[in-house]
Amino acid sequence: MTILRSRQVLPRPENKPKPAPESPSKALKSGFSFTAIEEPITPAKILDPPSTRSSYESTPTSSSFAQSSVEPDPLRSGFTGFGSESGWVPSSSAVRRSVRLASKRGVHEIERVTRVSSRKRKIDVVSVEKNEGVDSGRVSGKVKVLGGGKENGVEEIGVGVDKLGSVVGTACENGLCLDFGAGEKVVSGKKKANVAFSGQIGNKIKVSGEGERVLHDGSLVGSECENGVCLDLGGSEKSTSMKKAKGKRNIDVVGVLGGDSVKESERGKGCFNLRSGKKVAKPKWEGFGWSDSLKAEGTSILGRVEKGESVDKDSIMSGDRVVDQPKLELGMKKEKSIGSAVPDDSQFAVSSDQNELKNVKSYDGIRDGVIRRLSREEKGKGKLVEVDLLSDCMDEVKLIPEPKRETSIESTVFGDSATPTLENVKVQAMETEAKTHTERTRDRFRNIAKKSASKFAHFSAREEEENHVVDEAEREMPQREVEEEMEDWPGPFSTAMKIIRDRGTNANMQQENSSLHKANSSPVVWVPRKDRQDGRSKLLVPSLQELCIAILSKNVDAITSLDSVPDLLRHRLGQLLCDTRRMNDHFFDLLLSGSPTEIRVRDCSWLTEERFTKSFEACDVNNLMVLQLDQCGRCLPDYVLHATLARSSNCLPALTTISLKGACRLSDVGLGSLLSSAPALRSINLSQCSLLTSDGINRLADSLGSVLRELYLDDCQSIDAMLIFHALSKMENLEVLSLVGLQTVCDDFVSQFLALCGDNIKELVLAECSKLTDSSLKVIAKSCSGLRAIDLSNLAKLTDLTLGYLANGCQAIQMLKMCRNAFSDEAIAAFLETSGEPLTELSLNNVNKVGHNTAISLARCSRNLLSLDLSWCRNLTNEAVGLIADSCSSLKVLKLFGCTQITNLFLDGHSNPQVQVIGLKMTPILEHIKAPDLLGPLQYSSGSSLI
Amino acid sequence: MRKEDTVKLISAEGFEFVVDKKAAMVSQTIRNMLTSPGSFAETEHGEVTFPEITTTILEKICQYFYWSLQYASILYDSGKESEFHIEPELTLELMMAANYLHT
Repeated sequence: MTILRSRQVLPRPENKPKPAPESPSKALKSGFSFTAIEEPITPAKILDPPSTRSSYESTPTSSSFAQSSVEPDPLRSGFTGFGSESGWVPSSSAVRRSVRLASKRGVHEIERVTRVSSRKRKIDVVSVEKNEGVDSGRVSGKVKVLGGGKENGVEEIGVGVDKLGSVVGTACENGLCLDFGAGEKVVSGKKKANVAFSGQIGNKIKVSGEGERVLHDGSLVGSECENGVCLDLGGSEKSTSMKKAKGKRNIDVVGVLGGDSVKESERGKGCFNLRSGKKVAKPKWEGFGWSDSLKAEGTSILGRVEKGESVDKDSIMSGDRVVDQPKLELGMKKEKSIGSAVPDDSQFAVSSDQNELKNVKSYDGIRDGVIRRLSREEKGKGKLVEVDLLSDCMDEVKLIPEPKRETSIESTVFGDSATPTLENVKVQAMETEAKTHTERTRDRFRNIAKKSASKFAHFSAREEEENHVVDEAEREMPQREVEEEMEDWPGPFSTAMKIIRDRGTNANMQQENSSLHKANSSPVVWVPRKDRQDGRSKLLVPSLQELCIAILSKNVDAITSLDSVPDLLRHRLGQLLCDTRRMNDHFFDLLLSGSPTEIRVRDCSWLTEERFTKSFEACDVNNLMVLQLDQCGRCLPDYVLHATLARSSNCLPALTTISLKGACRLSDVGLGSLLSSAPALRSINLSQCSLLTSDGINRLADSLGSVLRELYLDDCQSIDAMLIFHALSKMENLEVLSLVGLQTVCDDFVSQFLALCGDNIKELVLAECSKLTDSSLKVIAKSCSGLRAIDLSNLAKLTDLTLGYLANGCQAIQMLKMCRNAFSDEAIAAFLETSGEPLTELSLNNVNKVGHNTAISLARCSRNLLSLDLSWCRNLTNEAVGLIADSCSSLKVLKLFGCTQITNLFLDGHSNPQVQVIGLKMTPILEHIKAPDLLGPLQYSSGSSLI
Repeated sequence: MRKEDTVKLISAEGFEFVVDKKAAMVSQTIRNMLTSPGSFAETEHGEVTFPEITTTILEKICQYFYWSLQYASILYDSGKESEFHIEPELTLELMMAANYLHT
């Protein structure tokens, strides 16, 4: 499309290139800093958007993007701009409108716009750059602007808009000029060289924003301008831009992009070939990110060079009237322009601009073909585009005259390469083209496009998939936004969050102000104690009980009786024996002798069926309240169960707690018979019972129903959460529910179950239920006001919102476990500030973002903390951990596995004599492995209250 | 050694062990007895009777008190961990006594 124009313009470019060089200087004078617009700043932008970029990288196109990213091009900035969508729409749209109007009215208004933009640029060069990115983002000029704005921030957005506006204006000007005539062009070109330049800049910006494509676009735009009235300007722009550094970059980018586009291009083959080396379509893609739908469109516009190519393609594709040769020529022309601007483009750089003029005719023909094609595709793509661009795009589209829209669509169609950005570029180009061509050619194209539309109808499974993913992402996004809005209601959490953030920014500012003086200054102030005596007092003397138990464990066989030994000591001894693999028949018999109330063996893997049967038959179990036979897969198949635990109904009258973890031979039937023999059960742990299915759980619910208090079903891989939903909902008094690793646990399950039974829930262990999202936690916070403990380990989808919900909804949480969560330092700190007071146990294992904010809040708000796990929190310094240890006066256990950054400075310097640091320096860890609570049969209810 | 600085621990058989208050306070239970507010006999007279602890065990416990006081300094000075020797036949009983004394 642009090519056609370029032909028209070609004659002028020669003349006007001169003004163009001047224009840069003018622009500088006017306050626009071309330099600012140029890439130099963009690299910084590139740095900024890592998050957005990363998401893009996941897409196939990302590879190309990564390549392009290497180069300090404006393109990236454009991408980044795209990544962020929020906030920009209103201002940008306004700008657009103004721009459009300006374009319609004439150069003067445009000038105003440019002035505004110039001011803004003065304000923030960086922002301008961003704006550039935005420009590119604004797909067809308009949209692009919007996209770019949001990331940078409101101010930036505004600027971006202006720029965009300016850019648009330029584009419009070009278009208008083309339409209206050279006279305006000349004026703008010279007198209002600023404007022209701004326009050019805009174009450039667009190019940059779009990335490689931007360049192309810019070229395209330029070419368009050239083609139309502003060909001269375009040329000048090109030259300027090229001079400024884009030239080479552009070329490089083009090359890169071309490669990418070729790879990516799913549709057009011939087109791709042509494009290869020239096209930049992919970058746009990446930039869009959010508007993945654009992908569907898939049509990417090539750079200027591409235009030529695209033209060829179009001709090829459409097979319409366009002559291949002319197209090629056109391409060459484009190349020429590029070449002039950038030496690197020399490949194509061929004939002089004059040739281009000749080609113009052919270009026109090509354009027509292209347009036609586009128009055909418009229908489908138009929808896509709208969807992609979302409301913003829609607005723009609406604003844009119909012809423009068609053109844009067409351009996208041509691109075929499947790059949304290209589409944007195309759209821009199309707009200008539309302006030039006007309705005259519109109908013609439309007809042609209708005829050839079917050729462009492609189905790509991959795209479909991507779109699906995108859809999902988009579906989640709005939800999230809504939630975020709700969260914005100034609850205690968000207030704390804000304070902490402000604190952070203030600290940063201070640090900047006093920048070099204290580069290493930490926000955490902690002075290690130097006196040696303290080091001595911190040595924990082994207690007499430990010494005794250790000796006993080495002499198990010499023990003749455990009569009168309290259960607690039995457990500790048994635990040590199990951990050291010294557990044997003799000790097991000792445990079962007499009329025990509790039998706890946390590792029965040594126990054979025969031995278990024999020992248990001799045991008086009438008083047995607690039975723990973990890892009993070997000794507890159904038939042994029938001979021991379930030998008759009600044979375990007092049993309230049973733990059969790892009973991998226990079936639903076995569970049923066990339930009939132990009617008083209140707590049952069936973790890792891999044979159990929902049938077993249904039996459980039928027999124990509303009296069951604790249920552990960790890693029962045969259980489908949705199938046990009804069973669980019968357990109205459930206090502890542990569903670690049940992959079928989803948001629906959690929300429905808790809506019914959430009132009594005290402890929820949802670790590794990887489908859970913030919405589950929202329900939890809403339904479980009495929640005391929650385990969120390895829930990767959770965000800071989760902590907000918990902080505001569950004020009584005493035990909070996190592991590998994506929570931010500020959010954790805000949680601690808001509801960290009751916490006695906190695990922040491998929560990477934990930093000084968390440390400060821990020190301030966690007086009751007994156990703290900061393993793998590698951002914590000696000072931070020292502050925590000294401030948490109740702290007994501090786990610091993997914290190699913590040195003796902390170990010797902290002044909390009670705290036991585990994980550094080969400290013994065995006894700190979390063992079941040994204090009583139930964790949250006293046994007596149950009977 | 002043009387105020010592504590008399009396075994089930009536044997009296006079130990440093500081040493006796290694036991949380004894510490609580000696420092609890109010005029208990233990606090006033500095005497604590353990009717369930035999003389042998109580002697061992007193040894532990002093051992634990020295443990840190020995470890610090010599770098070696001193070992508190316990006869295996006493262990079970000692364990229960230690549990009672919270030490």
